[in-house]
Amino acid sequence: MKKNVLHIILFFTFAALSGGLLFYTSQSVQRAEDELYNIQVSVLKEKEAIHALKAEWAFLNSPARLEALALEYLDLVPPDVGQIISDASSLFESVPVLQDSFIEENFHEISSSELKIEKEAFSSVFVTPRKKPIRKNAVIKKRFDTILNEIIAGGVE
Amino acid sequence: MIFHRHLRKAIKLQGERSSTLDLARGRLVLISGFFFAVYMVLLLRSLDLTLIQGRGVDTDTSISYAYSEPVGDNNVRADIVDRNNVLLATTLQTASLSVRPSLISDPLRAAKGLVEIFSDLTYGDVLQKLQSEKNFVRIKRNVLPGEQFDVLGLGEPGLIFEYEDRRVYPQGGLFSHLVGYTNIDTLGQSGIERSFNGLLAKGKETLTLTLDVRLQHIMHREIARVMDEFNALAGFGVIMDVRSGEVLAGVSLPDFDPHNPGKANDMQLFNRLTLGAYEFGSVFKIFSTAALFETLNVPMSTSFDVSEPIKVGRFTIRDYRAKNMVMTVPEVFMYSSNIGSAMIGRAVGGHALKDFYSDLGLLTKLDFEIKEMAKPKVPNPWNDVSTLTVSYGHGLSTTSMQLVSAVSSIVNGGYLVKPKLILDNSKQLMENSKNNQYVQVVSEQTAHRMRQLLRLAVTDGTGKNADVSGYRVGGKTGTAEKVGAHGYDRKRLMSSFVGVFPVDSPRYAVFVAIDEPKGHKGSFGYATAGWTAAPAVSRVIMSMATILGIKPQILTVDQDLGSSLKHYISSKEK
Repeated sequence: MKKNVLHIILFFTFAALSGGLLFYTSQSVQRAEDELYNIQVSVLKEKEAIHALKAEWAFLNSPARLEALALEYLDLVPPDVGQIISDASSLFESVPVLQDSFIEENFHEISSSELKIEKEAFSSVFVTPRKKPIRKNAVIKKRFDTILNEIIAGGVE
Repeated sequence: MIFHRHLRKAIKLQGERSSTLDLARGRLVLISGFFFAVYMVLLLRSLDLTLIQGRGVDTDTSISYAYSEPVGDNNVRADIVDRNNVLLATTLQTASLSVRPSLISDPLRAAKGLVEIFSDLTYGDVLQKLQSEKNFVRIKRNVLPGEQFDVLGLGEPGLIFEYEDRRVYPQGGLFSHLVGYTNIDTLGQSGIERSFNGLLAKGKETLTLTLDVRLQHIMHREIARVMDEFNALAGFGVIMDVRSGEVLAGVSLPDFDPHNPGKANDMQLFNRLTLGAYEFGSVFKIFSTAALFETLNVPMSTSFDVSEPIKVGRFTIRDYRAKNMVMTVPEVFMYSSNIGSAMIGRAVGGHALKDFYSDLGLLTKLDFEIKEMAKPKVPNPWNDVSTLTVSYGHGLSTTSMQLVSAVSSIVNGGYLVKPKLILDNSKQLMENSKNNQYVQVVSEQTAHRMRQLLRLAVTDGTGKNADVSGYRVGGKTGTAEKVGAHGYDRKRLMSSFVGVFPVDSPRYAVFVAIDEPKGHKGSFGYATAGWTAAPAVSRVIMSMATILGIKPQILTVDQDLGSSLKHYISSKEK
């Protein structure tokens, strides 16, 4: 008798449990499928949007349009063949460069006569200036803190 | 104690009837348990349907389509891109507006609303469609999203949107002839769209062409400029890679909007590059001169007396600008003497010349990736006069694609190239050259001599306006009179120039032809190739060089390829 009741209780518990489990599983499958579908739909929408944007990008970048816009709004013109050179070294005369380390090590040891010889050797490159620049109405740059001090002192309007 | 006795009685009583009662109770429990379970299942299911699955009913995507995949984009017509993957043709989904007249509640209001939204519709026409007896009437294709929103705002249940594919060409009319166009059902009607319709319709892979959108634009711009300057009827041009035959640009003007081919006239729809077979004139001297070197192997110093016009039957061959002298081959070429070229043709002989032209593919219909291809008009029968005239490019009409590939085949070192539009990345090019798959049409020596002559024609001859400093352009002008009602018409010209650069190791061939240019003051009334097509080729090469980053190489006069021929040119011209 007792054994029977126990059996029945066990049976119903088991049935309820497995039913619940089945329900849970089917629910999660359904939810996952919904999610999958939504994702696929949004991926497709996204792909279509990218596709349309690519077409728009190609349209906006079409050479005729870019050329017209550049000529209208930029101070740029298409490069001329004359602006292309085959060899960069042909542009400037190469200037001999004294190594920093050499100068520091030998600074005191180079006599003025040696320097003079060196300058003469490179006279084609180094031009000796003869005059100082003349500046009319030259504005002498002031440091900011001096200006500030002047303002505080009331020296400047 | 009393309680105890009672209990014992009760147990005793139960004990006596236990079997019957137990049976009844067991059945009761079983039945109620069964109903309980059934009601529980129903309860849970209703909970499931209402509370769990019912969430977010407002979004249409929440409906469960178990096991159903969303429609993929596999069946959309494939894209066409250029060699740098710039989009030339693509398919976009657009909405089209239709109506079910039986569902329209207020036709007058709906028609009024629609006319307000779409300015190109007329009120009467729309109203008629809305009240039609038919079940289903289309009102407008290609509705923009903003317009669609406005139509939905009208609130008419009878107005229905359908979605369909539409072919879009982001570059507009730039590739209208080569890429072609489709009809409204996205079926290819011309160009690549037509010849690769099956492949494109499958939609699996993007089709990559050899074209370059930048070079195409340059070509388009320069031809349009010359056409405008010389008030020409039409113009067309090709840029070809002479080593592989890849077509980098191909323009035929006037062109049309491929989104709306119905509005284009025949003049615009006509693809002059492939359907136009023309007599190109002196450009053909490249082929007759190459035939001379190839078949007879004569030295450069071979000379011809061009002082007298040639008379064959009723036919007289004259020079455009007569130079009464004995000319060497380089002189015939650079001054573009018709008499001299006719003599070269005679020297080569009709049979040999025809075979040579045939080897270059000038006499048969070109096998090309675009189906619309004209057959060349070959003189039939090929008599002695034909031999003379085809030597300077008259009496034989070919397409410009054939012409450019024949020139490429000569200057590239003598192996035959076929023009192609589909980019082949499979390195077949290198394999073919390794396996000697190429057909050698002229020897390396002839190729070199022709490059020299082409350079000479630009530095000292008729093509001076085509030169670009540092880029060693070689080329040949061709000014042909078009055939009119009464023989050749002197006023209607086909001026063309084919240039190759850099000429010492050619990489690109640039061809421009201008149909019926009219001379103006700036060109001193001239509309010949030297004034029209040659400067256009020069400008195309200038822009190409900066875009492709080709380095210039400034050579001295003596280093120039044509300079070694200078001593064949007599200084005294009568």
